[in-house]
Amino acid sequence: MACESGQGCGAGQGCGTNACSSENLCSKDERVFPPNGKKSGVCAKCKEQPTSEDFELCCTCLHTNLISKFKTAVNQNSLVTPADHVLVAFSGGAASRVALEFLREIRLRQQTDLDASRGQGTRVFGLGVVFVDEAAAWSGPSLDLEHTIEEISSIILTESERPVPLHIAKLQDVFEAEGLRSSVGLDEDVGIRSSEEMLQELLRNVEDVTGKEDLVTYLRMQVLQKIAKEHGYTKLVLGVCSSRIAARSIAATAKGQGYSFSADIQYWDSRWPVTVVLPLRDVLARELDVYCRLANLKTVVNKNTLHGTDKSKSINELSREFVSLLQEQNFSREYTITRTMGKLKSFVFNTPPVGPIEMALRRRRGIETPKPETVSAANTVPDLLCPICSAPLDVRDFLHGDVEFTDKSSNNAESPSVNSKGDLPALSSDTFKNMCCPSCRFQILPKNEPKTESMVKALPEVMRDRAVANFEDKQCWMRSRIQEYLLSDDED
Amino acid sequence: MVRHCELCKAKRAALVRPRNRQQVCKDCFYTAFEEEIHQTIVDNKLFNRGDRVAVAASGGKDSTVLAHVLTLLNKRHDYGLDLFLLSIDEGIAGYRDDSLETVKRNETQYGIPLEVVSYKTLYNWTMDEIVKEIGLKNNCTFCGVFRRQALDRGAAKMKAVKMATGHNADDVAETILLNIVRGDIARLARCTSIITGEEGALPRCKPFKYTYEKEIVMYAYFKKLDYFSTECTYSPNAYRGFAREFIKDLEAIRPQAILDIISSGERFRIDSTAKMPEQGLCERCGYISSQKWCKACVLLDGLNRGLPKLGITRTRGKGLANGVENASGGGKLASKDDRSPSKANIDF
Repeated sequence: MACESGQGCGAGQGCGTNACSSENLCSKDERVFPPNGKKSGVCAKCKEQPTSEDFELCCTCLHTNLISKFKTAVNQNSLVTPADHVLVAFSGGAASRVALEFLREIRLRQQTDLDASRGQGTRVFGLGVVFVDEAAAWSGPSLDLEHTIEEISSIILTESERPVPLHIAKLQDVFEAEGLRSSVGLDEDVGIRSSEEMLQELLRNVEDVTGKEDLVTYLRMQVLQKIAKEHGYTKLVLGVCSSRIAARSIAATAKGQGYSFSADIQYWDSRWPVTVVLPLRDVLARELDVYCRLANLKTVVNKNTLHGTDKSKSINELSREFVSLLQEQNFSREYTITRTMGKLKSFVFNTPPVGPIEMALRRRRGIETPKPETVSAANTVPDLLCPICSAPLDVRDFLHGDVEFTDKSSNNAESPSVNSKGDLPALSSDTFKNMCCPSCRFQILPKNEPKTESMVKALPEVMRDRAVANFEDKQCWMRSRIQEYLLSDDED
Repeated sequence: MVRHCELCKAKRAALVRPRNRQQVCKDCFYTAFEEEIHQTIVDNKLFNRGDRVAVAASGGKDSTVLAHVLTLLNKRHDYGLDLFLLSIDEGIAGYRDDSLETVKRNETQYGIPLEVVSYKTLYNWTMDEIVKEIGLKNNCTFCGVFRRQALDRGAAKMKAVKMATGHNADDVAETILLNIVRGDIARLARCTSIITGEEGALPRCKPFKYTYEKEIVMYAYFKKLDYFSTECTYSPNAYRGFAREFIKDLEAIRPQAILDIISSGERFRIDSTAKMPEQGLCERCGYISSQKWCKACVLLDGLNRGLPKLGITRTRGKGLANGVENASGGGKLASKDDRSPSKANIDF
C-alpha cells in the first residue's frame, strides 16, 4: 500500500504498489531536502521523487493525495459499505479508470485484512464494471466496438485478484423490457435492431443539439440503472470529477436547471432504484489524467462518443471551454465553482440514510450526523421528478405550469387513458409536457403538437411510467386539498 | 417573397427579435418591447402611484431607452410617477463631459428634470485625478463605489423614494455567472432580485431585468434615440469580458439562454443560513455599511492620506483597521493635501 503520509513509508520498501511505476525506494532516511525547500523537477511534497508533465507531485504523492480524497468521500458519506455490491460505470476515460483502480485497491486491502482476521471481520464489498456503447445514438456503425471491449476487458482482467464481472450494454437496451447481455461478446439477437430503430427515431425528434446530448445522458443513466438492478448491485459509481461538475454547473445554469442542479452533484443520490455515488467529486480532471499517465493506467478512447453532435452548437461544449479558459487563468477556478454549487441546498434523497452501525462508526470517526429534515404538516406537496431527466420539479412549475400547457391540459387530461395494449396508461402529450421540467420541455420535447405526441410515444417505458405516476400523485394531492368539499356517492 | 410580421400578419417584417427569433415589423416590435417592460413593472410591483423616481442616466443606450420608455409608459398607463433624471459626473474628460451633453438633451426631449451630482462636489476628487494617483489598476473599484453612493446621495437630495437603473438581462446573467465563478454565494442569492435595498431608504429597481441588450440597442436605433455610445476611457475589464463573451456565444446558440440563466439564478436553492453581511451605518457619513466605515469613506480616506491602495490591498491588521482607527481618532493625520469631502452640501 502506498504510504499515506506522503512523507515516505520509512520501511525502505517503496511506496509504489500497483499505483506507482517507480522502483525507487522511499525511505525517510534516504530523503534529501534541498536547502531552500524548493527544487525544480522534484515533487513538491516528498521533495525527493522527480516530477514530470509540469505537475508538482510525483506519482506516489499524487496517488496518496487522490486516494485520500477518494477515501474521505467514501467514508464520510458512507458511499460504499462492506455489504454493498458496487457497479462502476466505465467509459474508458481517466476518471472512471481511477475510480475502478481505487475501489479495487481498497477491496484488496479489505480482503487482506479479512483474511488476516481469519473471517472475524466484516464482508468485503462486491465489484462489477459496466460499459455502455452509444454508437446507435449517433446513427453510425459502432466504431471499433470489439476493439474497445477487448481493451476494457484487458484492463479489468489484468490483476490477479478476484475477477471483476464486466457488463456490456448498448444505449438502445433502454427499450428492452428485459434481458441484457452480461458477458463480453455481443451476439446480435432478435429485437436489437428494432430497439436501435426506436432509439434513432426518438433522437430524430430532438432538434436542439444540447437537448440531444442531454437525452443521451439520461438514457445512459436508465441503462446503467437497468443493469445494476438486474444484477443485484446496490451502488452505482460514476467517475464525475470536480472539473466536470464545474462545467456542468455553468451549462445547467444556462439551461435553466438552477432549481434541480444541486441534486446532480452530491456524493449520494438515492432518487434512482440503485443509489448513485460520486466518490471523485473533489478531484480535478487534470490530476486524474496525469495520474493515469504516471501510474501507467491504461485508458480507452471511445470513438463513438467523439463524433456525436455539432459541438459548436452545444451549450455543454461551450461551457466546458469557458471553464477550461477560466481554469487556465486560475488553477483553483474549477474548485471554486464546484464549491459554490456545493453550497446550494441538496434534496432529501441526497442524504445517506444513517443506521445504528453507521451512526456508531460516524461517532468513532468524529463525523457529525446530519439531522433529518423535519417536514411540516403544511408541506404536503408531493416530491415529483421529471420523467425525462429525473430532476426534482419545482413546485412553481408543476402547480402553475406555463399557461400554454396548463390551459390546454386542463381540458383533455382528466385522467390517464389506457393504451391499445391495455397494460400501460397513456397521458396526452400536453399532460406529459406538463409533468416535465422547464429545461426538458424547451430543449428535448418538440415545439409542435403532432411531433410531441410521436416523441412521447417513442420514449422508453420507464419515462412514460414516471409521467403517469407524477400525474397520479399530483391528482391525489389536489384531491386532498379539496377533500372536505367533495360529496361521496352514497351521501344524500 | 415578402416576409410578413409574425404578430400582425399584415406589415412587412423588418427585424428578427433577438429574444425569440420572431420576425416582426417595427410597430409590433415597439409594442411588444414596451408592453413586456410594462408587464415586468406591474408583475413585480416596481412602483407605487405618486412615487418620486430617480432614473439613473449615464447617457448610454440602456439609460436613454429606460428614460424614454418610463416616460412613455408613465403617460400611457398612468402610473402617476414623478420622474427625474439623475446623472453622475465622475470627471472623466472626453467621456463623461460628452455623455452628459446627451443627458442634457434627453432632459429637453423627455420633458423631465435632470440633476447632476459630481464626484468633485461630493468627494473633492475627479476620476481623472484618482487615476493619476492610483493608475489604471483598481480605478474601476473607486469609480464603482463612489458612483453607487453618489447616486444614492443625489436621489436623497432630490427626495426620491425609488431609483430605476438600466441593468438589462445580459447584465444580470453576467453577474450571476461571475458570482458562481468567484464563489460568492451571498451575492449570488441577492443579485437576481429585481428590487434591491428595500430595507433601506432608497430601493433600486431594474425594469429591464428581462430585456435583452440587443433589443434595447434595436429600440434605440429604430426610434433614433439620442444616446452616447463611447466606452469609458478607463473601462477595460478583462474578467467581466470573459463572462460577457460567453453569454454572447450562448445567445448565438440559444437566445433563450439569457433568460434561463436568470431563471436559474432566481431558483437556486440557497440556504438561508448562508452568511450574509450585517448592514449597519457608516460612522463617518451615515451611509449603509457592513463595516465601521463604508467602502467609499475608506477609499476616500486613503486618497486624502496619500495611501490610495488603502481599502484595496489586503493588509489586515496594518492597513485598513489601523487606517480607520487613526483617521477616526486623529482626524486628518496624514493628509496629503487639504482635500476633504464636502458632505455638508448634501445631507444623507
